Amino acid sequence: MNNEEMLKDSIRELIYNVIKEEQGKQEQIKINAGVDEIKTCDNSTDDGFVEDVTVISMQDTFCVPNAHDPEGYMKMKQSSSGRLGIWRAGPRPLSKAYVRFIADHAAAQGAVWSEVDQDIIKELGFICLESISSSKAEYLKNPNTGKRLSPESVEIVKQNANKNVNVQIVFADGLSSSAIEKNAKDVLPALQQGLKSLGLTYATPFFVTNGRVAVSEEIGELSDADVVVMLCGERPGLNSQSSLGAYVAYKPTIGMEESRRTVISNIHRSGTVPVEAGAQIAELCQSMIKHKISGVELKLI
Amino acid sequence: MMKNFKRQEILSVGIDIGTSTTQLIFSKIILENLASSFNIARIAIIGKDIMYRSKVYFTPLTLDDRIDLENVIEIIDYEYKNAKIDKKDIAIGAVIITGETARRANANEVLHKLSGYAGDFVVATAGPDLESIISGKGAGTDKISKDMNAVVANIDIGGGTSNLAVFDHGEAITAGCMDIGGRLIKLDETKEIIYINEKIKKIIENENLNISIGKQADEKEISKLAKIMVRQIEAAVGVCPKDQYYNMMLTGKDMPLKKPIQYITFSGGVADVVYHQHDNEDVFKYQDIGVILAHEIKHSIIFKELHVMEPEETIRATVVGAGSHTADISGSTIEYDESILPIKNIPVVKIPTDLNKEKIDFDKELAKRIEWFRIDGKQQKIAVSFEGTPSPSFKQVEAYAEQLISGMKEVINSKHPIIILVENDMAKALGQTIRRMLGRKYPMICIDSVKAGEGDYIDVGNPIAGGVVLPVIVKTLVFQ
Repeated sequence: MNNEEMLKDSIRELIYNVIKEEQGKQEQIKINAGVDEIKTCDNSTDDGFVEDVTVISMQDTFCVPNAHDPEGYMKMKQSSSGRLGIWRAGPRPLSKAYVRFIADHAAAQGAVWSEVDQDIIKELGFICLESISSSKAEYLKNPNTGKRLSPESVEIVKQNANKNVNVQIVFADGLSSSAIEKNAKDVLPALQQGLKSLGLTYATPFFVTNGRVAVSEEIGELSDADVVVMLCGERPGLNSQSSLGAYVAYKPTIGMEESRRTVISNIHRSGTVPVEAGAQIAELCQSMIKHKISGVELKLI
Repeated sequence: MMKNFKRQEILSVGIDIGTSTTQLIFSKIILENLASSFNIARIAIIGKDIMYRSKVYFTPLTLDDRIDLENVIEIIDYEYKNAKIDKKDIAIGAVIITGETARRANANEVLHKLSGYAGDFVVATAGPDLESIISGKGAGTDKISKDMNAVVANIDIGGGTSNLAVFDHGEAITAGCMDIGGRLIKLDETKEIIYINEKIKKIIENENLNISIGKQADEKEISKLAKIMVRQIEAAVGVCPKDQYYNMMLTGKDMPLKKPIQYITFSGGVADVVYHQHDNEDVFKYQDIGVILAHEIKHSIIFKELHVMEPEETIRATVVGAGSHTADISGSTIEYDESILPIKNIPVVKIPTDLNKEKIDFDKELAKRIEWFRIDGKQQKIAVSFEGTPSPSFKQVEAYAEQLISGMKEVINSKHPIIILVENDMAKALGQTIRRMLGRKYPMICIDSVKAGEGDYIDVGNPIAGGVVLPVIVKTLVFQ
């Protein structure tokens, strides 16, 4: 018993001393820490960077280790932009794949909530309009407010409406501001060039902040153009955050049926090539003006 | 212009005039718009159905070893009548002269006469490499390669030549041709040898084989010769080392294997015997060495080293290839003047560089290459082919248009049409830009999704699929 007690005592003492020593060390570290932290901070601003996980396209990303036929897999991946061949860690995704997912999701949200860069609007010479939404939040929570122009904007359209033009081009942020930022500068000149070569006239394009497709109906009524081409940011997904949709209608009227619109969707870098879409929309306008209809009816010709 | 195109079937003809046989097929090529209704049309060939196969004729030759054109025309007339097909209904097609027949004195003349005779847009093709790829596609080897994600070779063994084509994941990566075939030695009814090919004579001399004109054909001796012939094929597919005869037996260039072959198919007349050989068959029943050659192939190490598969077509592989697999279609967003179509046999000038990649001036390079096609101070018609940029900006498109116009000055001065083939999807915007710069009246064809290389020739047919696409045939050089 005595022996045991003694042994316990000496162990206690030993532990106590060790703890005390360790605490002393830590206090010293804490004192030094101030200096160290400042140093690390300095270093991190110089060298630190976070790898951009979205640089490589999903189609070029392949993480299967020791694949039997990596080339065959890559060929297969060319037919889908889905997250194929991203491998796993046990039952969970690899950190890299998970971070990529979060990044793509963030980019999609960013596209919805951001505003179109003013420099781009200026560069392309858009006339700016607004819907009756007072803010992005209101626009997203009450989408109907995106369908009508604010009273000020109605005046601007009236002032700038060029009677007797064939085509009125309208851009709207819709659900993706980055769709406008990435594609407008290529779609617009290709479209205008195409219209010109077909002998069609067009007015200065409008840009509607917090605008939806249907806002083009009001612009159509006010401007009296034969055809209104509405280029609207499409709802982003995890694969494409900057996709533009073209909604083209002959003499649109407020509250008209959706079937009167002809749609060319998926206009972006890896979808319908923007310059080709612009060139094609010009021909579409020509055929609408020739037949005086658009949408489903045009398809029945 | 119609944009609501859903589906169309066009009729295609293929005519193959080979060393020993002449054949014809008609096939239906089915085009469909694959794009959803909210997208720009995307026309694709979704199916090819062979609807009529002619008999297999012996290729008619005249006494002085030329192709008997009159007889060939008779065959064609008879088969068109028998199939109840009017030449006017043929939208597209190809005539191919293959093997030793391609080396006959009047081959070129026959080829061009026939292509005009068989239909409005039936084009002439020849050249050993092209022949190889066409027969490989006709045999369905490209499909096997695509489906299995593997490197698959086809060897089309005909009367005069053996054509090798290697496909990797469906794409042709190697093509070549050897002078090995079933009719390089011919016999008469009494099995007396009446013809021996020059190259084969050299092997016979070197090996001291007892084979010569006027003698009775001896199965054993010919088997020895056939073994040597098969060894050349084995060397070509990489299962045995090349021997002293290899280079001599090549028809043209050697065909270096870029990747090891995993599977192999045989087509051509000799292959028919390889796959469907009967016992107790008279080995000389075709009055040539084809059956013995087939027998030696069957016992070759190819069957041990590689996985041998059966093709879709054997003796008809080349004609099916010519009828169903030579024609392709352009992309669906293009610009063209219908008045200058169809165009035939236009040489291709390929610009190897991309505007962004290298600092070589696109226009100067183009002008230099176009100058190669000035004959006696006269500029020939040419088509310009280049890769282009995937999803280019409008500024890039304008830059391409400027450079193209500047580089094609001589073509424009000669008032030849501007013909542009670009690989990436950008032809409509590019075409419209060129039109803005040159004026709308200048004749022009600007199409995309077409891959053509230096030395190729191109044919572009009348619009199909409601005017959305143009049929295109890219050919390698006709007769080198």
